Amino acid sequence: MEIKARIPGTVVAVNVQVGDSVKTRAVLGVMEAMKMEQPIACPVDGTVKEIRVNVGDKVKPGAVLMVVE
Amino acid sequence: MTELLAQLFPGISTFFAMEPAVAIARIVLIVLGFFLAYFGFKRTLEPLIMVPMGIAMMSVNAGMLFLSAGTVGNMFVDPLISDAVELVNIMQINFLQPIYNLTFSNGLIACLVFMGIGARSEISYLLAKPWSSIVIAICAELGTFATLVIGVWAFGLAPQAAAAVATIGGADGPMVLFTSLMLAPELFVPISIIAYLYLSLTYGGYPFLIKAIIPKKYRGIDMYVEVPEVSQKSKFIFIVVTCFLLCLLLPVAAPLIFSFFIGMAVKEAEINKYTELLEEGLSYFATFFLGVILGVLCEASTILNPTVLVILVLGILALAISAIGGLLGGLLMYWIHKRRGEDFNPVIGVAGVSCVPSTAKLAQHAAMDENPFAMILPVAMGANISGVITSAIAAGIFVSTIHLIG
Repeated sequence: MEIKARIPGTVVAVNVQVGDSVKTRAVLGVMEAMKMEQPIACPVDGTVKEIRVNVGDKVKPGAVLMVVE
Repeated sequence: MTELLAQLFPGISTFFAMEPAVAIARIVLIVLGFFLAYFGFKRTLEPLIMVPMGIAMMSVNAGMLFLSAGTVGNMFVDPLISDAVELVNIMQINFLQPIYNLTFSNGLIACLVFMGIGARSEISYLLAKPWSSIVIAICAELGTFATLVIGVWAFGLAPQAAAAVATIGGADGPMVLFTSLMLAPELFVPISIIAYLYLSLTYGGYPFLIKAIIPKKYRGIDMYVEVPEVSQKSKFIFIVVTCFLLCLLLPVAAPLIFSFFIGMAVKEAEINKYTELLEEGLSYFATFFLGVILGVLCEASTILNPTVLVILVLGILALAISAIGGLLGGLLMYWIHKRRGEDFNPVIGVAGVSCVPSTAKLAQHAAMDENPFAMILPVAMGANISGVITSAIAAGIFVSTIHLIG
């Protein structure tokens, strides 16, 4: 399952690594938009397959941040 | 000896040469100025306006001196000069006079601020849920129209003056400046000071209104919206066409409408130098001097005008009623979406009050307090942008039709 950015903003933290098992509502990372921080929520139980962004990246809405399966 | 000291320190001796009421008002304003600047520093109030405004308020009320003919005044600005020849003389004495006359009293500064707001606004948010955004923004003008009626009927203001105060309900500082200049120039100073003071207080007050009106279980509703992929070309054309239509329909508000849309257009056209100029340069220049001039205008004699009390009451009514209207609009949208099996967070209603982007951020904060994963900012920003457009329309309607009443 692809986790997409919901607002244009900057990635300020990535809390997981590829291979980590994660639960629903876990905080995978943090985004910042308009000077507000917003947690990146995990929608499903699973394993982190891919991390496509680094801290400091600017992303557009709809951009895939991570893949969890 | 006392004579000599009085001449050496006119800032102090003028206190004794004035009427006691004015002298006390001066002291109150100095203290108030300090606290405005301090709370701006603490971020309790909006720092961009309040830090320069507070310091200017202190300085102007401290720095009084005896002018020729034994009158008491200051060297900052003398806004009451109307004769052009006298004006040229005064511009060479009062150091802020050129800024006041050439950017403030003709509305230019409001337009510069608006260009910056435009350059920061993202039109695609509006396109995510256009109808909900517009309905909410219309509901959030409730305070503007209600206050006009209250001002005329309950407080006996002239329709022009009531309309100028009522625009505070649109929560757009530049719009208030502009409308009060057009409709009630004699009340322009107190209206604009009070408007900015209150706008700065929405940070503190609106969260309580949200909690009072929107039940807790609705406040954390998350919304998955797809912000539609709109090409830059369609956005640009949409902006240009909307600008044209609004100018055509509301010529009196055309300078403000133009300023807002040119900011957005420059951003979509990716003329980055201009976007930077408007967003980082001009709008900060304008906001800084707006704060300074507002502070300098807070002279004791202006504040002692009895109409100020009426404006204080009407201003806060306008903002409160607008927020209530917006939140009720949010609840309405919640019910409509629920019938269709979709989610809608009613807190977004407050973002219809178009203080860009602070009310949208307030809505997002209120939702996150209940549910840290809720993301309503895109829809809230859409309501925010629509709010700017509806306030411009309301201001345009006021300026062009108010002479028909009364």
